Amino acid sequence: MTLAARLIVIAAVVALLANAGCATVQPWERGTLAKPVMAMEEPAHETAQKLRTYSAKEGGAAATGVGGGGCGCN
Amino acid sequence: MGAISPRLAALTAAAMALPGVHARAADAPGEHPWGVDATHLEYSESGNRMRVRVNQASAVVPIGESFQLKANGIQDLMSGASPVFNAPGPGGKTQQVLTGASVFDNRKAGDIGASAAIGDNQLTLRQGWSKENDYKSTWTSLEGKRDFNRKSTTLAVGFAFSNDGVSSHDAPDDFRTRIKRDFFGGVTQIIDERSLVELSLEYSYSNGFLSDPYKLVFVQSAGLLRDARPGRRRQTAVTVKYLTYVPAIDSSLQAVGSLSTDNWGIGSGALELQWKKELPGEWLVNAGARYYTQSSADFYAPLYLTPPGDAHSSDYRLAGFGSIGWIAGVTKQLTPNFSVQIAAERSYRRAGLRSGGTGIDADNYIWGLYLVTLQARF
Amino acid sequence: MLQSDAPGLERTHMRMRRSRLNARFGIAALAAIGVIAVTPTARSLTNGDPAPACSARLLDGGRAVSLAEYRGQVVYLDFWASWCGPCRESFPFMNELQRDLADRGLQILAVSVDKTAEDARRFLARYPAQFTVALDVAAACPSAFQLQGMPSSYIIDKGGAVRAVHAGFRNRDRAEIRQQLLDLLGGGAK
Repeated sequence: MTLAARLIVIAAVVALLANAGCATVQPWERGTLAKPVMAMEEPAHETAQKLRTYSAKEGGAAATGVGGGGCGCN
Repeated sequence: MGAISPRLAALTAAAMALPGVHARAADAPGEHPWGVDATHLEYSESGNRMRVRVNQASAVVPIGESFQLKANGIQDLMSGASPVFNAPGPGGKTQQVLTGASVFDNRKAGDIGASAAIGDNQLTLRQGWSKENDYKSTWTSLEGKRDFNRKSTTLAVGFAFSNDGVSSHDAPDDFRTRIKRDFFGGVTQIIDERSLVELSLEYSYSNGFLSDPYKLVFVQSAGLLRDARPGRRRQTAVTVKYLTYVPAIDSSLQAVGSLSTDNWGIGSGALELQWKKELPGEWLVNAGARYYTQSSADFYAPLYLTPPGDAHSSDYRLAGFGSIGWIAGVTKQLTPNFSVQIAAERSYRRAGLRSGGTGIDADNYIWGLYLVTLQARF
Repeated sequence: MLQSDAPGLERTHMRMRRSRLNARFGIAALAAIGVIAVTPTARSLTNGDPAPACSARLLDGGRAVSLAEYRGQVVYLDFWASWCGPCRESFPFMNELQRDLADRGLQILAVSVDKTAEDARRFLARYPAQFTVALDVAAACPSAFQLQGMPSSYIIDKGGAVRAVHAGFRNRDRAEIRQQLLDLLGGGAK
């Protein structure tokens, strides 16, 4: 199995475990997650600039963001 | 010799919604559907090396309740000296040889995109272009996102394809092709009332002309050869983000760890820690540190004592090195519709911090950037 | 130009096919995770179900108020929070409903799920309410109503049955909510 496939399988296991082990958070309990400091998604352009800087200057790579979290409204 | 352009990262695959750095809580879907952003960024390296000035603007326009159109425009102005090759120096210490005079390069890039949101699903299609004197790029990306478990879980998958042409100032109309395919997948999961975790994977496959036409390698017996890299590159990266709110300090703490590997022998790791705090009056401050390390490419050497194999490069970006730096930012919500952000970053790149392979101290430098962003949301 | 690991065309194609397959496998795997990760959702309230019991404390004065005391009236029960963005839009809308329909018998009850009265009051300072506002710190009400997302509103008829559930608040909901209330209040267009 290639390294990529191995990593994906590990990710799948981790994701399933993470979901199984999580406490259920009710929609009305998302006040803390809705705080401005809890926004996981960085500004796209800031991240893009930084990534551009990093990967223009660095040989490595980093996977980009997903979004999610927050108040879960609408 | 011509200017060096940061071509390697003209695009990041997964399309992201128009940003928000939020001094107030992030908008829910449908809340402020119109958005305009403008950013000015300046980047510079120590020792009269590269300087880049970037201006960027983005806009989001809603179409009905379910659709969005997005557009981005960016303009770079690059100047400064860049390393071309390394040569033996006095006292047996390898030295960098830089381009002579200050050179200018002007890059213009833009992209447009469309997003459709139906229920818990979102689909985004983007098309981008980039053009400068000696480099052009066209790319397309498609991303799907879905919320599960009453929005406790978010899953995203994406694919991007780019077709680039690389020429050089010596032969500006002679373009050699490079194609890159990016695959991306990620999941965000809420762990409890104050924490969440994100796991993402990226795989990219590039083929074509991947060398740098402005770089050379010094060979002891033979003189200078052109930079020559393999015609294929496969990179895999995994990133884990953990974000939690700490009531004791009324702040959030975030840790981001990345690992990557590729078929060129470059392995990298990064760790970033960030602290964010809300202050009265709709201010937000963030500060953090980042550590990065990489091992050099299999075919990299600072210089060659005997003639090298088919693939050879002395490009400092493929060398073994590490860097440590800090990040800081301040955001303020000026009115319910306007916010401003100022951010700065500085990093110390050192061969001694490398995780493997070779690197030379002559390649060490310090880089810094600052940016100012204005955001409007209606 | 260099093609160091492409000695023959067939090997090139096989390698490219394999790496594409790997990547496709990866995407399929991640998509599968997503599907598997869906936990069965609780059956939520629908049209016709009797409205569960719900009591909270009025923000003005602190008196206990319960849904039962509005039996015989059409009730617009809205769950909000100081941290809920769309509530910044729904409050002016509810003020309109109060102004237009209160004298036709509409009773609005906006129950906050904030953890402290202070949080709720801070929101009200910026988005004042001309309708009844209460606080349910223990969150017994949203739990009883099987709330699926924030904000959520429930239209309850004079007999105490739930007639409509609105999860989230968007622009297109305004006209729909108004029409549903008018139908229950027994009137045509105002």
